[in-house]
Amino acid sequence: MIFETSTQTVSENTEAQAYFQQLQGFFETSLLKSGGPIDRFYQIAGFVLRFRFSGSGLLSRFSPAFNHLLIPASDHSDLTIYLWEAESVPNITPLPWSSNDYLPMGFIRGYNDERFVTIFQQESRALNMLDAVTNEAVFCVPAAKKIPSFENGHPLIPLLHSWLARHERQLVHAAAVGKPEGGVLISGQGGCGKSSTALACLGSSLSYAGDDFVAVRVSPQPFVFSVYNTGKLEPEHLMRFPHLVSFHRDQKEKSNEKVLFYLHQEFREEIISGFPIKALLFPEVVKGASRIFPITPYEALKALAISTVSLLPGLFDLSLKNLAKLARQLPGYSLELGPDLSAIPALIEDVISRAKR
Amino acid sequence: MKPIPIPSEHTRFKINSAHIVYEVIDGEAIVIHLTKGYYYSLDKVGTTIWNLIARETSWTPLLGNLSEHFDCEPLVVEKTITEFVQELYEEELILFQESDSAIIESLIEKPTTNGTHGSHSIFTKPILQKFTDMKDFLLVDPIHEVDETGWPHKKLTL
Repeated sequence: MIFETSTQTVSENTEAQAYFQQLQGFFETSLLKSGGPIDRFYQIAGFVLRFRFSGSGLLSRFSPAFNHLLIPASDHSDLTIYLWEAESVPNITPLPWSSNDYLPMGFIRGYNDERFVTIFQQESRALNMLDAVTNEAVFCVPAAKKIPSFENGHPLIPLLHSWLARHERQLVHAAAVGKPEGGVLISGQGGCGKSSTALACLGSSLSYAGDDFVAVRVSPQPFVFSVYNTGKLEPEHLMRFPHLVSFHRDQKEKSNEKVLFYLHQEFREEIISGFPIKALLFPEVVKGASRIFPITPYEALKALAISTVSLLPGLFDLSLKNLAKLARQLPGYSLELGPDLSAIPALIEDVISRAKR
Repeated sequence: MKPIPIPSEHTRFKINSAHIVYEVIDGEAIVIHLTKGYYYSLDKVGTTIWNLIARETSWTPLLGNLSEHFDCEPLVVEKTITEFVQELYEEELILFQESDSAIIESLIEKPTTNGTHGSHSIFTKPILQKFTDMKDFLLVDPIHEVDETGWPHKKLTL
């Protein structure tokens, strides 16, 4: 595949291995300035992930999105991510590749194979590198404060996608609401009403697993895992959610972008870590009354694929196959999302009960 | 501009798998061209042809299969399929490969053994629908320069 493969075999890619070790050395040196590592352990999609921060800049930016999955420190971790800012010392340069080696979606030519994933994120100028054999990864940015605020809602997508996909977990651009016995995945392109649908369920009998990216285990039975406890809304839609208005004021967000909520702070009891998926739901904003009607597996796959494949770096074939499995296994519904959001939880409950029959 | 090839008995087709991913569900295909940032949907007739191309079928057996499968005048099938595979080629979804082995294959391959089940369906013109709304996401500007500290950044265009 053009973005992600290399003809180099795992053992031959000594350049990637050497640079990864060099980056780990830079992290260790950064600890001299930051005063030592700050570890956070999270249970994400059934795995223990250790985030080892050097300094508090990235900790304060990224940890709120994962705080609902925080677990006590553990001797064991399935993946360790080293995170630091390189604004001062040590820097990650000189880079071992040239300016011609940046491929679409930020892949670095020659530094991606079955073992290594190396992605440069253009907006945040973050370097992501995963060693899938040692289950270690690095995330390095010039300065945490320069990371675009929209990334606070879903940090570390390139690394989480690259690692989780190797462990039978598929990140999906979707919201998810439900109960321990089952719920729905709500997907579709940006602006279709995913967040409005999911946030409309706060205060109902349906719990909240996410509104932007969630992790899905496709087999044997589709199951969704919460990854981020964030919710996002366009500022002009905020007034439709009275329970979020005061919360928003408390969070003191100042931005012309979407308003970001860390729901774990105010709605802790309504967050759920995961549940079996019973149906796929695809909202579309309409002016009339909200209603739900079935769609074909092909329509469901098209909507899932368009919204997810374009946003995840690499492993496109695997992602599309996983999404197709979901579309084949689960009933799909179109949700015409009208202005009366109070009707939404009951409609979703109805979809879940139909799927159980 | 590259000329559009005319398929012949020497032609073998191949999915352009270095640049695309696809999935077939309920007899219809969704195809994503990763480097162009487009996605496509194929109707049932288009997907029947696509499935044959995915098996790297050469031109003569492909035509034979489709003529057997569909109730239609073979010349009409040939003209329509020629236009369709050329459209797939133009969109860089498939490759044409010229080889003598395609002729040998056409001599030994029986038309109805190649996945169309020998049933007769009504032939309609295959439809390839193209969508461009993924383009902004997939085609992130890959051009960077390095700043004075060595960090890459977007190349400014004047």
